[in-house]
Amino acid sequence: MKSRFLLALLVVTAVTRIAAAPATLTATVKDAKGAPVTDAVVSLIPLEAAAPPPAEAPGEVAQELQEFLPYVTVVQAGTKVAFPNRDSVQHHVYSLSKAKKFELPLYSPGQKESLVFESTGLVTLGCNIHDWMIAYLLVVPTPWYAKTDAQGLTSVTAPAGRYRVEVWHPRLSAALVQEITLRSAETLPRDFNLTLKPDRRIRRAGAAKSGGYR
Amino acid sequence: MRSPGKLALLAALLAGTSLAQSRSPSAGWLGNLTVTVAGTASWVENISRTSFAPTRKDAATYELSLSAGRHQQLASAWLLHGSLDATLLTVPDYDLGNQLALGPRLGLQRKFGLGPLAPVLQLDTALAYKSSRLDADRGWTAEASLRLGKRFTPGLKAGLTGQWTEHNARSATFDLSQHSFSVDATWDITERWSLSGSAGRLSGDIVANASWPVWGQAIGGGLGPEIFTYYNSRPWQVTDLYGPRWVSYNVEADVDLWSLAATYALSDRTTAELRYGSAFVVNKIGVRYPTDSWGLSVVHRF
Repeated sequence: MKSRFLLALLVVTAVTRIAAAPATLTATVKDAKGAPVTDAVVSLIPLEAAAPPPAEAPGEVAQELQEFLPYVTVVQAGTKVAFPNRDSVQHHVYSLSKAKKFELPLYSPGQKESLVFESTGLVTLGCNIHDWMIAYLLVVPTPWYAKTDAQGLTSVTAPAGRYRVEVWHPRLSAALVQEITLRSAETLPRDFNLTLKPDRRIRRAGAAKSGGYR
Repeated sequence: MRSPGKLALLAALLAGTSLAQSRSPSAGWLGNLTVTVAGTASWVENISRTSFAPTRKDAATYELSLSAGRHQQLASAWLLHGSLDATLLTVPDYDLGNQLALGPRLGLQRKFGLGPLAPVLQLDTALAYKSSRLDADRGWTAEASLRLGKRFTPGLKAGLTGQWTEHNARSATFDLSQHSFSVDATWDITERWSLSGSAGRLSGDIVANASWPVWGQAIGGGLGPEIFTYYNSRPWQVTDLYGPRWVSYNVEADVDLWSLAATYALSDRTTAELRYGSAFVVNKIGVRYPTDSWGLSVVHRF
């Protein structure tokens, strides 16, 4: 009798959750000077239930005009990510990150390799031929994430519940973490202020004129 | 006037380029081509490389260079560069110094590891025909260099270079055989500004110049027996390069070189550079020829 009651309770809880309208976190991300921060990743990691498995849609980090596009990509763990070379030159894509070490040498225009990213964490991508090429692939344990736009704005829609909010950016020493509770059909606004490190990317600018002597 | 037989290495590397092409048919030749054009206006003090200070000549020079090249990865750590380079130099005040050089350049690069901080060893070879307005200076130039480069931070890189140059001219006066060693460093101070410097020493043949009155004294013994003996043992000829009856002569020398440049990136593809360069030449018997130059360049990569 007791077990039947517990089963019924679980079913009711599940049905209630499915029926509940999703909630939305709207995030505004700014730096220490109040300027909007673009390419910040806001992810919601559920604290009360396991996150659903990743959707079928693969991610993509392309090589175009000797740059990675996009600069920041976020995928759920277990997602397949394609690396199409849409450039006119060869590349040598690599990662030395713990979350995924790999190399795609002799990577000619038109090639498109895909890799599955199983472990969560940050994967820093580089090209071993073009040192200035860099991109970040953040692998998160949740399907509820989004990137900020040029105005530093984004929104993440997820089922009602308790979440750990993680805000990450390439120039942030460590992700900013907060706990929130989203209520059904609620839109919860949150401001995040990040203290960013200086941008230490390798400069792409063209080669200077070399000197010589005869 | 020397045999250009030392260029077999270049031929071998050219053959390597053809091989590399056949390995990667999908990389279109034109699509992979990088074209770079550079224009430089310089002011050169003692362009005549003259030892006797009152007769030294200064002049403005203008240089336009064009390079079309491509790279091909041969293996994970090996990269092949090939280009065709053309350089036009004009010296309006002394137009016998005008010249056009044209030729291929080939380089093989080995990177020791992954990432921008991995050291890179690069072997470069170049062969160029120099068509100088001065007939005696026309001829083939071969160059080979070995450079070890290392980036220490995203904004700081440095390198060590050893270079060998051989110019085989129509006249022995303009034949050159040189080798040099240098260190260089570049610091990207901001997103747009860079500072770079280099220092090195070159040893080998140098072409210097003298007005006839000075040269007459030198080879007549008027400047001492050491100069008399040495200058009479070296090739020389009247070239009128820096005035009527000016003489060009070939000496063995050591050259202390250094330069400092400030570069401003106008865009990802265009840079402007202000460079100061100094070359302090001391020939085998201690005669000095200091040369300084200021140059303003614009480099654009298409």
